[in-house]
Amino acid sequence: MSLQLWLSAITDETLEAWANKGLLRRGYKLLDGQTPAQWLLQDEHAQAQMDGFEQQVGGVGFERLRCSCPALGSCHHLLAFVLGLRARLASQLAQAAGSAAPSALALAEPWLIADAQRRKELLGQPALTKAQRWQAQGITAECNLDAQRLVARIDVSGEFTLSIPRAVGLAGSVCSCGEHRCAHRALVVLQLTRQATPEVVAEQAEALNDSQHQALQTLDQWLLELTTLGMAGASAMLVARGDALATTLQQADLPLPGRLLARLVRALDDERLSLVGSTVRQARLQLAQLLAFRRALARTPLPQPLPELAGVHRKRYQPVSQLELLCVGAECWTTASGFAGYSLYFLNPSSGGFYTFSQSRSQALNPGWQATQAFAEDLFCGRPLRHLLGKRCQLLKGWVSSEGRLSGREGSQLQVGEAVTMEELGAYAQSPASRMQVFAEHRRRWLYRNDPQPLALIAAHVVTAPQFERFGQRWQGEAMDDTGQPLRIVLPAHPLTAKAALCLSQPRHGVTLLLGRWTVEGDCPTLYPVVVIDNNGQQLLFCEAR
Amino acid sequence: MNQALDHWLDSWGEWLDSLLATGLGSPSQATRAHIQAWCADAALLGFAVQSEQAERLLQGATSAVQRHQLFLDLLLEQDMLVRLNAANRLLASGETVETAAIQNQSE
Ligand SMILES: [Zn+2]
Ligand SMILES: [Zn+2]
Repeated sequence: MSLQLWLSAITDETLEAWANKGLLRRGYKLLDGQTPAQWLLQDEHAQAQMDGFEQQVGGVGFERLRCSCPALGSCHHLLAFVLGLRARLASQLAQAAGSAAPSALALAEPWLIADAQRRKELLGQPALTKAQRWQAQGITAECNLDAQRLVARIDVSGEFTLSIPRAVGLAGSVCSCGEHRCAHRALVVLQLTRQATPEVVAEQAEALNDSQHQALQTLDQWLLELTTLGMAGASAMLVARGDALATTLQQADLPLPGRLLARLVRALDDERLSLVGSTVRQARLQLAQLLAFRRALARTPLPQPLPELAGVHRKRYQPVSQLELLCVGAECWTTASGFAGYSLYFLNPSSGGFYTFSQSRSQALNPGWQATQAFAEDLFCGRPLRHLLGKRCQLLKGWVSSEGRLSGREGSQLQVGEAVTMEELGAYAQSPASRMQVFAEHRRRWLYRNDPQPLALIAAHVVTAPQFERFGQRWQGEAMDDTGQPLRIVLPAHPLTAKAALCLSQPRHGVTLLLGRWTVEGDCPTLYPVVVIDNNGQQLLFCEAR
Repeated sequence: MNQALDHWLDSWGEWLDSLLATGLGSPSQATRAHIQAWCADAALLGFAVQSEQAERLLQGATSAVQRHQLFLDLLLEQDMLVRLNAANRLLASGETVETAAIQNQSE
């Protein structure tokens, strides 16, 4: 019976996750000329013949599907097989409408497994251990339930989707990682079971693995020597060991502490060789930053998810609906660490906050990928990005990270309306006080994080055209906002900078809005502009695709 | 915003630098005097715990490992207070600008 329940609950998305879009399409095509009503379908066994090959399934689970064709794993025969069986069961169910069997199971929650022994049997100890470590690191699965199944998204070194049908539970589950017993399943089971009945899931795992513990202990020892000897007494040996340890930390998946240590060691070496005077203060500041992360890593559970503390960028998305978004601009960018990408910027009128849709790639790993080209060709919720610029949009359904990043994942729905008028946009320009507020709150919340600066939309006009500044290797100019506050304008080195500087210095009439990243350098309010908005519309300073 | 506090935080950073430069084994007479003066101010400003920690740092009975821990605690604490102080100052300056802007409008 459970085989039939499983088959009738399988969705196209599940099949796509198990195989892929192309095979699913071919499966449908192959099914066209078949007559599933004549296939063998018993309680725990089903069998068919297509294309001269034999397909069969001996119980719940994709691993039990077999086809005699030479393909490894999934093939379009098996997809046609599953699709055919599902259709046949659906029509049987329709004929037998009124029988109460399915509704009794509608609210089953097979992912709640209170018995630890049973969890171990179903999921395996390695998967459970891994999931426990993830939990200790603050990683959670995003779970959505409907009448048929649970669909969970797990973002840990890549995004994975797991679906578990209510009717048959784990045996009929599919995870996009491709394995049958994975830590993603274990995470979902542990998380939901603990939520439902906290008392039965007591296991508290260590967030760090052995090699991470070892590396951090070596770091503690190294720091003890440093403070005991002092920088003046630091030997070439201590420096060399610090360098090696920085590499060890990086290799133990603690890249941020590794980088911080490498910087500290450089300062130490400079002081030792007396290359620069007064580096002690510099070294102390770097030591403090390293310590802040070291201490945070010593706590259980961790104060922030490990990937953040360890310096790995991760996005955790939450579902949102009916989010109003004014599309205020876009840019293409590159980073010093070798990434290229584009960002599309939105403003939410009711909160004044910004939302971003971005794509980026490592240039070394994706030499053929061009941010400008991707911006010209990519879609957000099925719409070309260029068509959104300047428009009033409503995200009917979507996913957003706590830092305002939008996910373009399937199922997102965006409604695109009229162009936003200059008058309306002008009303959302931030006052100097609110800019300062956002910036200070950001600083206070993340004492030890040098994130990208907050975005700001400022009503201002350029008073001194940006000029190349040889010592800073960047372009710098002056603007004045509409309250009379001066604002430094900085353009980083970029193939389009000269053009951007020219665009900024064009004479303009009426209100001009500058969108950019805003910060305080020294004591000077500073804007890194990316878009100029005036009566002629948006001029993207760092994006050629128009 | 609070000059006494700014001063005291700077002075804290200075003696931390001296200790980091020479090592914790035997602080110089000047550094000892510096720390003792700083401790007196700490008590006035309401940082009794920090003052007590710094005093223990100077005591002969404190072991090398304890000294190291105390030093790291004080170093991190100073750094966090400086960062917090800077963020608070920014907030305060934002309020000042706002007041000025409101005054401009009402004129
Ligand atoms: Zn096949
Ligand atoms: Zn998985």
